[in-house]
Amino acid sequence: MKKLNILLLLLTVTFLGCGKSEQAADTAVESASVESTVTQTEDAPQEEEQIDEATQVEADSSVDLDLTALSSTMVYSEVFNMMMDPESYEGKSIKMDGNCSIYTDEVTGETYYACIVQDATQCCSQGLEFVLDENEYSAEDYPAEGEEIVIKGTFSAYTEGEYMYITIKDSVLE
Amino acid sequence: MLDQLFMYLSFPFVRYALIVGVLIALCSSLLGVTLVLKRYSFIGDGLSHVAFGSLAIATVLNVTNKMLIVLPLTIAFAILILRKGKNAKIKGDAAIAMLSVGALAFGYMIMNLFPSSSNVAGDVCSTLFGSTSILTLTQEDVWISGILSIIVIGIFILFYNRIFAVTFDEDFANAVGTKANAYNLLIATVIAVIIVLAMNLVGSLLISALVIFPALSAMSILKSFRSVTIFSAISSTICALLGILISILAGTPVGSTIVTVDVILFGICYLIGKIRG
Repeated sequence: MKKLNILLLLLTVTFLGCGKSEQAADTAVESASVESTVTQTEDAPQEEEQIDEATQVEADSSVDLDLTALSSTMVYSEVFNMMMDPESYEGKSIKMDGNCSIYTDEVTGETYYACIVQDATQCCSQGLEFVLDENEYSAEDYPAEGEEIVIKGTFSAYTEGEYMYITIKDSVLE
Repeated sequence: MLDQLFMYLSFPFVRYALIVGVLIALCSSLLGVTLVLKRYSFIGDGLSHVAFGSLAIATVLNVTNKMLIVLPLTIAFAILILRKGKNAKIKGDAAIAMLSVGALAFGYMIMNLFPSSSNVAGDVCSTLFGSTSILTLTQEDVWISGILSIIVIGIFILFYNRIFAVTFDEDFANAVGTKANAYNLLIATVIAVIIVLAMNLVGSLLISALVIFPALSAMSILKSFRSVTIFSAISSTICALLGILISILAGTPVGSTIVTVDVILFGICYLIGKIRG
């Protein structure tokens, strides 16, 4: 009886701690190819991001999600989740810092720019493509390969060919 | 720092990591006492490398739910190593070593021969060291891990007395009617499940730490099987919790931070044990 009570207690604690149930949806996302970006294609659930702006420490209050206020472990994980569940971040203003990575598609001739962050072991990288605000910047204003950058823009998904990509559009360099 | 921590806790993936991390640490510490006493401390390492090899096969075959391949293969190898107990032709440490290096080499080779991503080295590194795996769980992963952990804990609680008997004296257990072979099989299966879950927390190379250190810390200061098990469970969950929180605050790899906290606790317990005599 005692063992059964312990089991029941454990079950209760676990299921209370897991939170409310949410619908799962299949999503295939492929980020824009850049030199050091990990490509991830997996199923991802839909979930609502809860960001309490009032409790952010030294975070930029002008954006919905300030990755520059997070530790490197958190940044890598958050970017991973953004790639896995882009619908939850669509339209949100993002601020992030990292290294600029440039990729040119040999077939189309298009050049893509990304802000890359690394995990704590420095062996894995995640990145988000960014496009500078056309009203403020020209092609010459884009940063050089490897340059440390801080960008602020709007998270958005777009389709190119048969794949969906994510980008931070209308970005400004800080 | 507290404000920063509360802000981090507002992210769902952090809460998922804490829930799953605590459950995995609890499960591994419970079985860790049995494994250490049966001189199978390195089974975590061996089976985690087998799981890595299985993961490589699942990745190459492009299986959506890799657990369908990883879990059965790891269980099969765990049974192979543990079921025979002391009557095995190839004894514990040799069998573990054989499987461990063989599976690791095989897994890495096929991931390089049939790469499924643009950064194979990064994927391998992340799987081996678990730098942020626990922070990138989906809700489905959390449910699966939670349910499996509850089953493992339930099995340990329900069969505690028999596991105790098989751990200390298989012959005596057989003599009094306990089916030692069956319980060895059960222990092997449960260990395999724990190893597969624990890969998400600390990575393949560091799993042994989750199994060994809590048990050894407890044995340094306590004597009875029950007290060692309880202390091991509590200390392991606290270390996992602390490790995850420190890693997200300080930006360190999650797996190695948890293991570092375990090592520090072991050092403290060892000193206390020495002082008490």
